[in-house]
Amino acid sequence: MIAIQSHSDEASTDDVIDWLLYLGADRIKRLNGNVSLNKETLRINNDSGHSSLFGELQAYWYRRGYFTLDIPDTGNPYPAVTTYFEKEYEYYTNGTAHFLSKQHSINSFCDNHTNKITNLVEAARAGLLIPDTLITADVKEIKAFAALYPRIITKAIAHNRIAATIDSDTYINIAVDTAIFDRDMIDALSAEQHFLPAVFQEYLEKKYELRIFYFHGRLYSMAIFSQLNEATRIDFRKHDRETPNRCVPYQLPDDLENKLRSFMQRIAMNSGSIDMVVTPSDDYVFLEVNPVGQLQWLSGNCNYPVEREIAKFLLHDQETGNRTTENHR
Amino acid sequence: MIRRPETERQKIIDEFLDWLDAHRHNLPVNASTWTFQLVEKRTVAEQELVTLGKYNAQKARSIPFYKPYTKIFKF
Amino acid sequence: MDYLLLYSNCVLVKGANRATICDLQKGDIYPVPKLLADLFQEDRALDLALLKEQVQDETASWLLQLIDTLVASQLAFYCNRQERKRFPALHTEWLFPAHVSHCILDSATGRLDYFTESFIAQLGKLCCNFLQLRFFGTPAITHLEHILRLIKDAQIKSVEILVPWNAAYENAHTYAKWINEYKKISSLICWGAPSTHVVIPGVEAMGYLLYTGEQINTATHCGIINQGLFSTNITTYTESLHFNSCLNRKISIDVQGNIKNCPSMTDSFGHITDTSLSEALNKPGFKRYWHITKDQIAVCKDCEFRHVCTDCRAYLEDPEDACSKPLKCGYDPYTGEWEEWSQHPMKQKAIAYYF
Ligand code: SF4
Ligand code: SF4
Repeated sequence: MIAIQSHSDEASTDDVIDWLLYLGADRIKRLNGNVSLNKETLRINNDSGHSSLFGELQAYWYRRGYFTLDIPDTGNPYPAVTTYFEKEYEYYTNGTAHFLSKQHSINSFCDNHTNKITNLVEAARAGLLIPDTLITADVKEIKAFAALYPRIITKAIAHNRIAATIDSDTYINIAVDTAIFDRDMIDALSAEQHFLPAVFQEYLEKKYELRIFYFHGRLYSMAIFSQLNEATRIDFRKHDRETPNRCVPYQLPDDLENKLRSFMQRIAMNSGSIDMVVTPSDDYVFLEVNPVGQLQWLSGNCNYPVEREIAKFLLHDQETGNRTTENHR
Repeated sequence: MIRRPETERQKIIDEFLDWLDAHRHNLPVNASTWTFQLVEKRTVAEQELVTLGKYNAQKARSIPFYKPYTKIFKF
Repeated sequence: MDYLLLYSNCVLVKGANRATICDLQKGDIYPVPKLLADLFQEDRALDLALLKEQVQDETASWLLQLIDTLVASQLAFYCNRQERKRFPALHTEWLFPAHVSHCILDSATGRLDYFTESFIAQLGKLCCNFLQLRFFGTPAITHLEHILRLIKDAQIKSVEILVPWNAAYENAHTYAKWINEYKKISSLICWGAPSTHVVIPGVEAMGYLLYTGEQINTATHCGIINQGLFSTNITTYTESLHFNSCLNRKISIDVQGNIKNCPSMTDSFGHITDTSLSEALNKPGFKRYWHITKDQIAVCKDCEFRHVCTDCRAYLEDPEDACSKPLKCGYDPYTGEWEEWSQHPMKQKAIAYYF
């Protein structure tokens, strides 16, 4: 069984299934969204492991979605018991995700817990350049930091969306996007107030941005000419539909590819989308890695065989070798 | 569902902004860069979604073929 | 800066008289004078120092102006020598996972009785997810809705439908109802309508309702080549480099039920009542046109549109020559002029042969 955990409206999953079917896969199981483990069984011993979710497991691809355990509402007068259930079963769902990640697999639910701060530390240790980063609530520190650079930016530590519920079908969507933290904002802060901490980084001038899809040692890189469109200068994800950013294949220098491989090994993530910036002085600066980034955007604009290679991996068909750079060099 | 009238939407946002102003010092120091949007959920009815049988997929929109199938009419 | 480099999804296609830059990311085509096109090394990099050396006077300033336009149109950018190798050419492999990419079903009567669940399963085996139904006779509402319901839950991703325009259907809002209810319809084209216009503009090429005044009552109307039918994207471009851009991975069933590569062709590979699609596909000769690329076709090989123009092999200027130019193309790449093909004196023999 080739097991895929995703969302019902996730286009790259359809694309990979197209390749699987074309290459002759006959047993594919796609689970979507919220997958309950209430009725499932996990067996682990020294010889083997087995989850009833997928039967005989040939390969596993985590793309989207999560495992849950539904705790029945018994009108329990002792909330601590319910809290205990929640905590207890979280270890079961995470354990199942871990079990699957140890099979022949791509990504894992656990990759969603990747930490941007940890990753910056590990990127620097792998020899990659990272932006000067400050995490603080101390206004004096922020002011001193801002004095070092022409401009600074701020972004979320991990979560960039807050849904502030108004009622059952209304909420205020709060976006914590990458934004310039300008002079006025800095001046408005008073050192006497006690804020909560946030992330600040030097603003990097960019020639172009890079989106790099890493997958079991292979790298597929794309340059994004976001400078062409004013609206996308800060965060290219906010690109306007009318004039999409020019996106083209890019060949990273070999030593940089090796550093990225070693970085991904350090953070133990077997697949992810890496964001980098190339500065006007040709420095390559690492920004972040997302475990389940957009694929069509990259493969579609660069004509990279990413979806086919994922399908081949799931089919244990590795004859194209571990380095893909040969494909598009 | 029916959207709220604009005045009511504005009221919700104003209340939220008042709360934000009153509590600014208890929020992250970069809260001045947050952006907001009032969202009234419209759950797409199941039958509105496109089903792709074999793929176990339900999509908001399916995709067209990438070139003319044949060349029998022009526009 | 050392070079002007075309973005790798903006490809330069040189023709006899001029060239085009095909913007495969955004779907636009820009004509370019030959003089400028010839200055590009490997069809993508223009050495700016060399340009200044080789070309002088007015020509130089004219070229520099053109170059500025290319940059302003976001087709090319300036880069230095080291950067150039960081921007490789587009990977040219055609990446489309299907044994058969699309299927055409023709009906003269308005019925497609073989269209059943098991027929859809046959398409599924071939990884065929895209369908075009061409009705030359009006399908009964119940019959077409039956077909649409079968498509609804199947693996089929989208379907284009051509039907004769019918006043009663129009009055009952049947066409709009189909578009609203069956979300897998990419376009519904009603031919023989009182006027030609877009009735419902779809979203992202899905859910279009179009009326055309043309009479499209037989498959012989197929094979039109004009600029409105060009397809400017990476999939078409890469397919045209290696395969026939119309007939590759195509399977069709004509109005008699004969399984063919294209309904307008004479060769049949079995009848749908006794032959499966894969049986027909595997018969010798079925794929004989699949590998005829534009680079092998007379005239087209010199045409700057050859990688956006999807070919036609059923109606040829010289019916005896499998590599002759499509009959219904009025473009002359040697002069850069479009003419009405049916008026052309050279084509009269072929017209008499086919029609
Ligand atoms: S070969 Fe010609 S007639 Fe046949 S489908 Fe293509 S364009 Fe139409
Ligand atoms: S000459 Fe050939 S390639 Fe050019 S437009 Fe006509 S048919 Fe297409």
